[in-house]
Formats: sequence, C-alpha cells, structure tokens
Amino acid sequence: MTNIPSGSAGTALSNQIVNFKAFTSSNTQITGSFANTVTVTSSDSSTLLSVNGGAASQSVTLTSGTQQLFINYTGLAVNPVTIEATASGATTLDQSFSPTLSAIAYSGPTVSSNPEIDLYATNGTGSQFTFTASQLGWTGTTYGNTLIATIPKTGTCSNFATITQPSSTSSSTYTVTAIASPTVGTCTIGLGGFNSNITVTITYSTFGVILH
Amino acid sequence: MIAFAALAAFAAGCGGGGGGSVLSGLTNGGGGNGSNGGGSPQSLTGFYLRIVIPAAGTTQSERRRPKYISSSTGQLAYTVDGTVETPIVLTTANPDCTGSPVACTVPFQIAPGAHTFSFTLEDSNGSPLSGATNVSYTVVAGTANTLSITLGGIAASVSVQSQTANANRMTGSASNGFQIYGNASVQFAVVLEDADGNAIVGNGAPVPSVSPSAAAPFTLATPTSGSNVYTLTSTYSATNPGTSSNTSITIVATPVPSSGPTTALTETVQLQLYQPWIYVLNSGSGGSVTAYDEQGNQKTLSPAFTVSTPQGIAVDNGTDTNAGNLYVTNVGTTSVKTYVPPSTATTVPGTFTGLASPGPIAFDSHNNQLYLANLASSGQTMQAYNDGGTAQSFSTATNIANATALAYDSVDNVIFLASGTGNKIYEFTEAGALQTTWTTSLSNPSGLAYDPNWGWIFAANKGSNSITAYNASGASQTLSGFSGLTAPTAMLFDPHSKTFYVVNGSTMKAFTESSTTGTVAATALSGTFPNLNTPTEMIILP
Repeated sequence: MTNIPSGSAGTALSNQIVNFKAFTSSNTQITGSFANTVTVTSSDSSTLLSVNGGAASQSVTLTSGTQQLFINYTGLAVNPVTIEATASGATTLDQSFSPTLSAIAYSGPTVSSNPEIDLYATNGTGSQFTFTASQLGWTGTTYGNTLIATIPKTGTCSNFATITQPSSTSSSTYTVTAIASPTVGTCTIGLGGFNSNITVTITYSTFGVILH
Repeated sequence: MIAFAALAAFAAGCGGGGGGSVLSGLTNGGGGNGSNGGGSPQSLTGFYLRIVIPAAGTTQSERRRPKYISSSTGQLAYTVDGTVETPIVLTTANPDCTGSPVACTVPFQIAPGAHTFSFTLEDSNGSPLSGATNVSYTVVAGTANTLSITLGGIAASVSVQSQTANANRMTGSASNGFQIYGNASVQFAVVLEDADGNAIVGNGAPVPSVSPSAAAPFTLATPTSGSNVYTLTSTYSATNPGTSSNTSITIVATPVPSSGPTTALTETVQLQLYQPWIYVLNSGSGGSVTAYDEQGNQKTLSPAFTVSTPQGIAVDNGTDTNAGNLYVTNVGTTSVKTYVPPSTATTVPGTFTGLASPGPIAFDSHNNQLYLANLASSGQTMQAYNDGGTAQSFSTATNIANATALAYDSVDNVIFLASGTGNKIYEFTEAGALQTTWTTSLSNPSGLAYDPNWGWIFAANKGSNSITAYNASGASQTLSGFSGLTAPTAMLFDPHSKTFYVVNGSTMKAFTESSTTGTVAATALSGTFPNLNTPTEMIILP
C-alpha cells in the first residue's frame, strides 16, 4: 500500500485513494482476480476504508487487482492508525496513517507569551477575565471532547479566584473571577487535551501608593 | 491600565514628619503594609492611594514638614504611563477623605506590569505644590505591591527672614530689600515657600544656594547641615554713615530632582549695608566733635566740624528733605549749626530765633521737631524748632536748673530733660506741657538715653556713679550691670546692637542689654574711643 494520505487532526478526509498492489511470489503484480481475497483493516474507528466507493468500514475485502481502496478519516485526534492487509498465503503488510495533531490553542491574556490571568480588583476592570482553550480534532461539538482541567484542590486558587469551565462541548470559554475577599497569591491550573497540555497561571495582586 | 472601583478603605490618620528625602523608598512586593509618612504604620491592603494632608499651622514651625505635602493640597493630578488621568480631589468633599488632618485612602487599581507614574499635588486652583514624576514601578503579579513616594516640594517663592536676635540690626523684607546696620554678624533664614506660601524646609525640600553679589562687602557663612540660617558679616567701612553700600544676595532654589519643575527659582534680594557712627560732642579744649564706629574705632570727619563751643548734638532721623541732618548747638555763639553727614556744613531756611546759650538738643521724629535747652543764666528754658530752624510753639514755663541732657521718647512721644544740679528729670509733652518730675535715685543726672526696646529712660548719675532707669510710669530701678562708672556725663543707646555707651570721664564704657531680661552687662569693644575730651552728648547715625 502506498500513497496513504498525511491527514491532520481536525480535518476530515473522504475517499482518499490508497494505492494497493498485490504481487506473486515471483514479484509479478497481480492485475486480475486474486486466488485468495485480501482483507484490509483499520485499527481505529476514526479511519475507515472502502472499496470502489462502497460502504466505509474498518475492514474491507479486495478480490481483484483492479479494485481501488479508499481511506476516510473523521479528523479526530488519534494516535497513528495501522492499516493492515492480510491474505492467506501472503505476507501481511502494515502501513500507518498518522494525522498531524494540534496543540491546545489558548486565546487570552498572556505574560511573556505564557498564559496568565492577573486579577487585580474585586469588581470592575481587573476582577474578571475570560480565555478560551481548544484543540483541533478533539474539542468542540464535532469531536465531543472537552479539555480536562486540573485545578489544585488545595493551594491558593480558591483564596482569590473562582474558575468557571465550559458548560458544554460547544464552548471553550473559561472565566476567572476574583472572589469577594481575596488574598494575594499565585496558582496554576492545567488543561489537558489529546496528547497536549497547557498551564494557565492565575494571580491576584494588590497595589498601594503612599504619598508623603 | 488603571481603573477605579467603588471600594473605599479607610484608615486612621497619621502624622506628618519623618525623615524622607527625594523620591525615596520604592518598595516592591512584601506583606502589603505601607509606611504612611512617618506616623504609626497602618495596615493597608488592597488597592489604594494613601495620603495625609497636614492641617495648616498657625506658626511657621507648625507649617514645616520634612516630607513635603502642603497643607494647601486640594487635589492630586497624575499620569500613568503617560496618560493624564482625572485628578483626585483630596478634600473632605471626597468621600474617601476624612478627618483632620485630612486622610485620604482612595481606590487605586492598576494591572501588574511595569508602569511609569507622575504625581503632582496641587492646591484648589491647580497650582503645583509638590510632586514626583517619572516614577518607574513594576507591579508584580500575585503580590501586595506598595509604592512609597516622597514628594519633592515645589518652590514658588523665597522668603528671607531676619532672625529675632538680629531684629534691630537687620530690618526690611525680601521684596523691598533689607537694611543691615553695623559690622556685627546677622543671621537670616532662607525659607522656600510653595505656591500658597507654606514653608518648605527640612529633608526632601529644595536646597537653596545663597551667594553674594560680586565684590560684596560682606562675608556669608554657609549654614551647617540641616540648617537654613545664614550668617552675614558686613565688612563695610563707611566714609559717611548716612550712605549705604548697596549690594545683594542671589538665592537659587534648584528643584528637587523629578519633582516636576526643571527651572531653578532665582531671586535677588537687595541689601543696604550701613555702618553706624557714634558722634561724640567733646566740650573740652574749646569743643570738638569726634566720630567712631560701634566698636570705638575712630572715623575720619572731613571736613572737621566748625563749632567753637558745642554743647548739644542731634540728628534728624525723620524722612523729609532735611532728614539726616546733624544739628549742633554752639553755646558760645548762641547758634545752631547744621551739617550734612558726615560733617559738611549746610544751612536751613530758619535762623533758630530766640536762642539763649543753647545747650542740649534732641530731635522728635514724630512731629519733625527739635527741642533744645537754653542755658542762659537769666533762666534756663526750652524751645522747639522745626528741622528747618523755624521756632515752634512750646509752652513750658519751667525754669530749669542746670539742663544737662535731653532725650526723646519715640514710643510715648514725650521729651525728657535732665536737671543736673536740680537732681530731676522733667517729662514734657511735645507741646511743652510739664507732665511729671522724677527725683528718685537721681544724683546730678548728666546724661539721658531712651531705650525703645523696653520703653525705659536711662539717666547717668554723675554724682552717684550709677545709672537709673525709669519705666513709662516713672518707677525707677538702679541696674547693677552698669558697674565701674566714675562720674558718667553722657550716655547713648545704640538700637542696632542694643548697647549702652556711657562716657566715664574721658573714656567710654559699653554695656549690652539682654533682649530677654533687660539687664545689662559690660561688654568689651575692639576700639578704644580715642580722642575723647570731656564728652557731654552723643548720638548715633543712622
């Protein structure tokens, strides 16, 4: 099998042709019917196969060298998928479909290019910030996943802020709000996706000017 | 980014004072407790701008603040990262300001990160009083940040204040100029004032420099550290006591760095240096007039006084055209001679009619009148003349025995006449009405001196070698400080140095008066008053 596409998580593929050739023991390509059928299987349900435009399935059967093999991919972030061809009396062949994965995308306040929410008020400006975090091929309604937030149960976050996570897979918005009587401090929350993690630093600071 | 929230955190007031200096103490992080200008530490957390505005003092010292926040502060103008923010009212009209002195804790929120601030305290008219500009500070996220700023006072004017001890030696004002009398040191304080006239002194205030004009006839001692009192010593040696050496000092107040203004405040204060001369009328060897500085060093009188038998001398210390003139009675020629200082003969329109062996003479600055006593054997009387020599009405009919001295009381506007052998002192009104006659403790009073500081008239008793002082009510006291006298015949009070000069035979003794107790003590002079010859009268000019 050759010409296996190079997919990317978040981008679906439909009926991408995979070159499939079978050879005799004397290394002559079989262009006619196969003496034994060839079964091609995908190791992941996100990646399906079909023959000559037929129904897509994780496993298809090829009977002739004239048939075309197609690959279909949902765009879900997955580990490399094994495409395996087997036939009685023939050598089993494994090929890999490895879609490129995307890191978690953070959109919100940063400090030195790092995600950081700096609270400095209990109401009004500086008391609440939002940010979004998502991952192509993983989060969102298409793929049905959310990022896993790791918020320290002990630590300083709760001393000065509340963190509201997305209420459904349709949202990627996180809201950080200073509590009523905060104390200064710093904490870090983690957000985990598919093979990707980010940390977001949250701080609360005060500022006093004394003129004399 | 700056934002204000409806947070109002109030804290107790704090005092002024403390020892800060220029833009000191940028503290970052820490526990959130701010030091509030030298008072008790206050526990302040959150987002605030804290300031205590001192109450206006009733005295100069009360208005002084080492770290400068003016009592006239009305608002805070400020910028954050170059953006001009809405000024903050710093009076009790602002709900975030309370108490007396007014303490303001104003919500002041700012995002973490590096910022540059400028703060200027202004009065209610927007005039800058103190400030700190280009203050860089990084608000560190997750910590309690405290920015402590000592503001630099912004001088708007300069005040030069003669010190109390020198009150009679240094008179005038910075705006109109000062008159400095004599060669003794005088002290003056240089005080910088803000736009509302509040003194800015102490650490953190602009430090003025004071420099004399070129070739100025005085030395200027720089104050010791922490003092704003300068010492000026005149080296002016006058050839005429009636004229001054006109000079100046220049005061430059360089702004406190980063306080706001960049241009130095410069003010030139005019000074008139006078060297008072003591004119002594000597009756011996036919009579003469000699002159001395306050230390008894003889001055040159050129031309010499042309009076054959002088008996009295007075100076017109009024302000009209004859001001400054010297009048000398000449008993031998029954005349009054007039001189322009130092000793140039001049004339006046009048002829001093009615003279009869004129003796002691005194000038009344209140009504610009001269009084003299006639020593004629036919009856000693007093007469009055204006300073032009025209006789004035003077009603006394008192027959005076042995008139030896006259003195004018510039506070009560009365004239005292000493009767030597009569052992009396007569007090007359300016119109010549006899008021009282004093006799207590007198013994051949031969000299009189009036001391305006205490309102006392002093009599030199030739017969008892003592000095008797009378207050305005006539109560007498003999001052023991006048010691070592032998037959005193004349005395003079120098208002500049508060020194009595007493003729002691043919020598001079000096006694300094205490400004606080009125007591006197002998004082040493560098000069010796040479060439005295039976002195009978003295004056000082100016």
